[in-house]
Amino acid sequence: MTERNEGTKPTGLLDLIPEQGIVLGAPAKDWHELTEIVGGLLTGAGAAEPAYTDAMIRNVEQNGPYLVIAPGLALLHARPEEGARGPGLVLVTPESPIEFGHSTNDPVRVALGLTAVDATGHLDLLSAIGSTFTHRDAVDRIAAATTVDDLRAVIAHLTEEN
Amino acid sequence: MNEKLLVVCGTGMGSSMILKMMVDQVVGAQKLPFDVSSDLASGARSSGADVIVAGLDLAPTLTNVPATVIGIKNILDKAEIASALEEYLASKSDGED
Repeated sequence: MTERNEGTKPTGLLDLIPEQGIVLGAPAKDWHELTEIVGGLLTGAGAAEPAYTDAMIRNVEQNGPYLVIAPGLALLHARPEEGARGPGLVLVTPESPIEFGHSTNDPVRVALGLTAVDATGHLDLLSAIGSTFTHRDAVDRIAAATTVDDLRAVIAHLTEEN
Repeated sequence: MNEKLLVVCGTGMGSSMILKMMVDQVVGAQKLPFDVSSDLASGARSSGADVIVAGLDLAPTLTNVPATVIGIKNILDKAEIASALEEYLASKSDGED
């Protein structure tokens, strides 16, 4: 993993997301389907058990759509004991914007999936999310990316602006 | 004396921790008189906090909590957080006059 960073500019958030943890333009028609796609990536990356996907869906159902943390941005996650295997982060942009039922931040155009196994092991992930998405137009620019190379360029640019 | 500020979310590990980072940055940068900690929403009632900060859509669930509850629309927007905290401090000093 360290080899990848040698001689290249750090891209922040993308260094923390595995290549197979990105889907751009995912064909999801509602928040359930979007959450299932996010959960599938976390499972595929080895960061979670399949049960974690159901737990993320329950978290939205029980605690409300508060997981839509900023305009257009959902941070989907469940609790560590609900099937997380390690700290993990994935990113999905839906083909069309998705309603979660949030009073001000709908519709969602970028969905992040997060796993953690304790209170502190994922703080670098949270900090990278925070510093990338504090830019006002971060969601617009990331939602507009159609290839992973586009996404890499956009995020590198957002990171440099900090 | 500093006000006790508690940041909460549904699970205590995702959005509340990002919100806590943002609140810490705002409080640090502007030297606001708050001691900041974070917890599950279910821990809010017994926390002894003076003020609770949560995502906007979680705030209405915090009923019967003996503290001022502030709902933040965009938890990544430091300007929104700063103005909410300043408004809270202003309302406190009005009450003392």
